[in-house]
Amino acid sequence: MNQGRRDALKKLAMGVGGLTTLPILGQAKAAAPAMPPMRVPDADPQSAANWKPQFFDAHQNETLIALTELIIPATDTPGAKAALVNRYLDLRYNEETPENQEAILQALAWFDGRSLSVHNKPFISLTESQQKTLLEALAEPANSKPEDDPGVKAFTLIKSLTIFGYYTSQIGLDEELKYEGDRLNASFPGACTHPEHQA
Amino acid sequence: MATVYDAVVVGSGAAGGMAATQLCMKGLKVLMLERGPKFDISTDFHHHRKPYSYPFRGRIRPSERAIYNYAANEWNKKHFVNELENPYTGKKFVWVRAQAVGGKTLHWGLVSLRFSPQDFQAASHDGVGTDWPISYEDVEPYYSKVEDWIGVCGHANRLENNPDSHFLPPVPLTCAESIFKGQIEGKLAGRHVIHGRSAVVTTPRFHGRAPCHYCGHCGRVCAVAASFSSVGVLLPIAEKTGNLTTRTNAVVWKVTTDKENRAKSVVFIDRVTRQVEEVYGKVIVMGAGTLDTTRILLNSKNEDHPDGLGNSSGVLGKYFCEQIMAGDITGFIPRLKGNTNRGGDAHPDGGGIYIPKFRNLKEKRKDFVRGYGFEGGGGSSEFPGFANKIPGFGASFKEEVKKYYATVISIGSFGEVIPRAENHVEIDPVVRDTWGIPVLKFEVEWGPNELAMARDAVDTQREMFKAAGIEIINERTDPLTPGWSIHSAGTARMGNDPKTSYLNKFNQSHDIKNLFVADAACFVNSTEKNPTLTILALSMRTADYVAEQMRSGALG
Repeated sequence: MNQGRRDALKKLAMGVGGLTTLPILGQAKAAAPAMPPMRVPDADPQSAANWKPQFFDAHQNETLIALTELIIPATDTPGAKAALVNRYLDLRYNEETPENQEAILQALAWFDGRSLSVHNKPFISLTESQQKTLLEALAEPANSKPEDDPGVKAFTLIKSLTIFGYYTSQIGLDEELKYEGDRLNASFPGACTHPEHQA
Repeated sequence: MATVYDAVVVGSGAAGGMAATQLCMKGLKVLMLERGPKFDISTDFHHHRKPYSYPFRGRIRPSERAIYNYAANEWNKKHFVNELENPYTGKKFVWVRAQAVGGKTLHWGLVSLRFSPQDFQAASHDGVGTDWPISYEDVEPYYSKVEDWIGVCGHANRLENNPDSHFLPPVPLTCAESIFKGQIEGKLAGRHVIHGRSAVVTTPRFHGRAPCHYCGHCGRVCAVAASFSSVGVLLPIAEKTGNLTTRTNAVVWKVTTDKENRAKSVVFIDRVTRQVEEVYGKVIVMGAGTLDTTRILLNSKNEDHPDGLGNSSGVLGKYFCEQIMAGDITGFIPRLKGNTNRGGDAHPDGGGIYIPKFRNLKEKRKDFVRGYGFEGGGGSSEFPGFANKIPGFGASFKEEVKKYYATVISIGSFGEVIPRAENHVEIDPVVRDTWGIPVLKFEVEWGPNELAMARDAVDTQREMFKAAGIEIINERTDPLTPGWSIHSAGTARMGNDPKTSYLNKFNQSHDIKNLFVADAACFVNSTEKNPTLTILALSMRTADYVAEQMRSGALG
């Protein structure tokens, strides 16, 4: 498979992993964006004990933790909260485009808006059961009402970001999916060994 | 006195790297120019790093998105050009460019397909365009030599339009691929699902190279060159001859000619110091990649060559061709739900499945000429993008993702884009790059033949998935932007008539006898097949011809 070309496509097609920016034609004079210093990949500041959100405020951060953990909870393996999906999203959204920043803040605000109108409390103050009920109306777009459209959009965005953040984390990739690539294998680990599958 | 090399080769990827290496092996003193730096693939790239070892999970961080093309990621980004420093203008086009010794072979998709006899004489088959001045028989010995040298794995299927290579053992199919193959070949006559043909070593001790270790991420730059790259496989051989001089950071501006109408020198600008330098060769071989080669030749216009170097025919920059990525489709194979295989994409790139062209082989369709093939793969992959298509949330959602992980199968089409004179590139009269060199302007768009073919490819992808009982979860039905395939070709085409072609059948300029073009700019048509194996074969053939002509004194 033509990995680079087709992977990039799949990301675009499935709305995963954010926007893919194409080269801008005729922008010879475009100024280079400010380049923050590169982080050392293996020293992970995101797991530091004194971590604080840079982009989200404390309430938005708590809302994000609650939503991501509702979408991918701890089961026999840890969930999105333990995988620190919120911290990845904070790092990323701190330098996202203003449009994308606006989109995620609006999405988070929608959950509080709905929660306040139904329960007179912000989303993070609801019981888990109330939170789930609120999400269930959005998770099956076919069943949702027209007035839920912004909510469906908000949920779809947060779900897509949770999927990306979780399954690219150590917990998601190694513990949950047990992915066998990215390492030295003596033979192809994907090889089919089932006679009933053979042509 | 400045040094005069036997040959100056521009570029170091599939075309430049092969030409330089073959010329060195023939005893010529070669200067190879590369606009980027030289990386040590064993230490400068880290293709086994997990996504989570990068803060942005291996994706280009938001603040750098404008700098890189779509194929770049944290693993491989350092070998690509900075898009902001290297602009281009005109119609919407995606131009992926490398900037490193080895060029795009550092990340390429590895798919290695011989062109067929009909591909070289396609115009005689359907009356559209022009035949190549060479036939399959002319190229076949070079395909064989290249394959025996670089290593291509695959299975001999004896298909007339997809000639077999000298294959190393194929990569086994995954469960999803095996089932799909059985379904398609059993239900749709004339469709074949074959093992991917990939430029990767699958046996121990192939010319002393490390065999594939099945990590699944060749495109992140294989540190041991189990997958083919010019810098990992060819250039070490060239260096051992003692005949190769490599000049890195050389951004080529133009080729000059002398009063005898011979190519005299190559002028470049040091990418870092911005100093202009001039180097001299008895022969100049262009191998910078189709579009960069053409840009340099157009920028080399002078009093004797007012329309671009060696362009008395006027075809330089015209007859651009490539492949249209018409659509793709992804789905679940229901009977595999719960399958526990966890390494489905840990094969080399290009090592999944391939569906060869099945249109216009014998019959002639009314709606379009030529055809398309599909690349594909099935099974678990590093990132479960399909999870977005699993409804719901919570523990049951998480469990479903795990159960569907190995059931996914996906194919995408690559269709031949007909070379037309009006699909062309030219020099933008105003815009220059960071080094002050005028840039390319693209006048390229799909024509009616491509769009009709693309509609058919979308119909047949759906037809095959339905026939195979696949639950379709995602479908792309609009062609991608021109250029996306990174298979650009044809802007300095070869031919027998100097009035209608830029090169003769030995990749030699009709107008300037010591000027050669070794890359896919020489292609007469693109075919639906990936170009690199043919670029390597034709570049080797060009180098053999150059060496022979120099020995006989024909090039002075």
